[in-house]
Amino acid sequence: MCAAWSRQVLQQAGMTESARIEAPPAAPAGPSETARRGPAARFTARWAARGEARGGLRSKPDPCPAGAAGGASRTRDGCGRDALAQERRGRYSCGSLQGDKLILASLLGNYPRIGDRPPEQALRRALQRADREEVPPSAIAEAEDEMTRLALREQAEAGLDIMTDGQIRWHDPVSHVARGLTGFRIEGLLRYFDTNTYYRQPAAVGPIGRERPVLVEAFRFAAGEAAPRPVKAIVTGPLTLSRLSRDARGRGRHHLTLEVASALNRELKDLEAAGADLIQVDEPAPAWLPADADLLRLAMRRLVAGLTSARVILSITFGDATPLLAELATLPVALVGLDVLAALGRMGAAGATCDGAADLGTRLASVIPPGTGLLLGVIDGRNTRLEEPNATYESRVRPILAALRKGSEPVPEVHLAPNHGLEFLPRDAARAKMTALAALRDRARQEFA
Amino acid sequence: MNDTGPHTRPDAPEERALPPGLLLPLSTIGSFPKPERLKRARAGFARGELDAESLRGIEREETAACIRLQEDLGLELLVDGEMYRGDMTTYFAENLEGFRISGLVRSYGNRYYRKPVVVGEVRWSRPVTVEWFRFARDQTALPVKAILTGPYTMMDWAFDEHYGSRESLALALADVIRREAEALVEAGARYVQIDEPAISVRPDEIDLAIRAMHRVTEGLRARTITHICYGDFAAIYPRLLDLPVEQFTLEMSNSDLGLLDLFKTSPFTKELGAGVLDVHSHAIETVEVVKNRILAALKVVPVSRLYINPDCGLKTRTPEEAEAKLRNMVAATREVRQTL
Repeated sequence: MCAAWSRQVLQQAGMTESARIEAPPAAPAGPSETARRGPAARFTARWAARGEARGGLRSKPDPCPAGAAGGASRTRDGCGRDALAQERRGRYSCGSLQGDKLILASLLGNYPRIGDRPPEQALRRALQRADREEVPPSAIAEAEDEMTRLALREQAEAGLDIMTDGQIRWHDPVSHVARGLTGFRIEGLLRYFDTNTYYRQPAAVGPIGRERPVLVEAFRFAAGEAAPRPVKAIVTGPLTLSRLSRDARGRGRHHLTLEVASALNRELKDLEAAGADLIQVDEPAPAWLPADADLLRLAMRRLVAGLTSARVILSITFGDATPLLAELATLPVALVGLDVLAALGRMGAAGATCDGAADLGTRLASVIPPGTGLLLGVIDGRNTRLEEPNATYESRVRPILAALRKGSEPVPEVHLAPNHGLEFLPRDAARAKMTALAALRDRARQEFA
Repeated sequence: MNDTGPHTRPDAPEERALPPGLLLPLSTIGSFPKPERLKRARAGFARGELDAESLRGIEREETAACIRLQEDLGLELLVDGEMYRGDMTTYFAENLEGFRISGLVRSYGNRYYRKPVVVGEVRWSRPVTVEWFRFARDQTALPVKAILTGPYTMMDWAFDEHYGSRESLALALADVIRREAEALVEAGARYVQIDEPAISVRPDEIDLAIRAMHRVTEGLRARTITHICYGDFAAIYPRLLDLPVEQFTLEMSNSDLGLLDLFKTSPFTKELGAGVLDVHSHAIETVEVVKNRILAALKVVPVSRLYINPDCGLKTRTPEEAEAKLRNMVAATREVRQTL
């Protein structure tokens, strides 16, 4: 993965000098209250409002005390390159994977965009005021920036190793991406899986394509703000996008999924070129709805084709993905993400006792090939009840890592995470969950790193 | 008695029902938009700048105004408009034992709410909505539908830090909501709607939802209704029809009447309150559009079992939008009645 470093560093530097302002995608039709302009449009407004070329990396003081996370003190990484320079660009570097950094803590993706304190309500206020035309649309983008910075800062303060932008700009996990592609029309509200939140359902009405980047600017912004900490990019996967869409053309789910995979492949390549070394593909659909293993394999191959340095996490949450493990093990991804609570819940329902986590670990050790890492959703992102770190470590983390150690061999790369995005929680609970997660990571490093 | 309720005349239960033979009765789902002065008053109360009694006074005035509006528009089965409620689950959680209320959580879009957290055994110690039901009924000669949030939805939309079992919590909540439903019937409620919008998202739990609803409605001396919206109905249909209620008020227009196709696969055997207004759109449906939706519903459900209502509660719309939409709904229904 390190061979492409210098090319990317140069590329990224070039981006900052010769940034082009792209035209926004067509806004969705209809006077819906929740219809909002596409992400690219909002970014254009934001950068234009600031009079800046987009994509610039801002230098800012480290918001986090030394030693909390990251590894900026190293001068050379395992690849012999200047790790500090790389990490300043918010990258997930070779260096950050050395030694005890094989056990990392991160969010799964989204994070509350609101809190009970007035500064945490900047985005809600901006959207309300823009809706009443009291402020220009650029105020929305500025508030999104502000809430993204806050999300990054809180992750850093909690001591997480890999940041996400909190998906603050995402209207929902489905339409946010579909809106940026061609061939989709955004329609009515549907519940998102078993949550009390909604997504706008895309309808595939024409050939699915991608004319311009959808998520790249948000990644650049977060990477610049989070530096030196690495940021993982997040993309909704083709199976989930197609399964939660309406196939208005009647060409079938298979066709639509592969079309989406091709369109998103271009997005992943652009994210890679923008410096994303870790890209998480969110695919909740296969854990929730009847999964087509062949289609998953075809779509994933198409999705990651041509990536040269970025490492892909395939995250399958909103249910137990362990029935798909054998299939997941064959996919061209660097890490597989699982909802450990859902897996243990199913095993518990089937009569397993406290050995559930050990059994899960044994299963993972036997199926997941060497070199493939795991993202383990071990903190409940759907309930405010706070995990007690010691008991949770003993029941959910330690038995799995012990089984994965395979004698004297080290554990594979493991990312400890909540089993859901934390947006479903109030902000105080989300912060407490991140602290608990960091504590689990510390315990795991002590024993297994 | 609930000290947060309005002051009303002593109870005088009377049997008030829709006129026999009325076709396509016109009703709503429950909530109406809160006028600006009420929003300001609620915000002032939250900041401690307004006392509870002053807020109640404004809530009473706006409830009375909401009843007048429904009468003026020509609606036939009224609601109290929920001027005094915030979120549909949090309101009940605030007034039952065993809950605390969380910080803000996103609902969708730019909407946020405070979510119930179950921290102890849930208990009903006093009526929650009865005084408001009486107050609304005293403002009108028309029947008023009482609106409750169902046990499955209360369970699914709360954080459970106490029970550790979805089933135990749902059934405990069912007993609580049953007590409230009985208190409403005691106060003269002839129509009780028990909202279960969460029911369509976990097909494997439909049996639990049905068992919980049984505890609420079994032997209840009222017409029982449930409201469900924005879900994958196909996954639970026709099992859905086993919910022990007489009427379903359903969201249909936001999903382009797709439900009607589903009902062609297996007959809809209960009364249908057809959602003919999309409450998530600023657009005011024309009379013609609403008429066509009613006519489409009539092709699938016989006129004797069809009621007309918006998709969902109107609180997400502005007062002007809600009034304009309902005006066209009433006009369209009257035009269709002429043809029957």
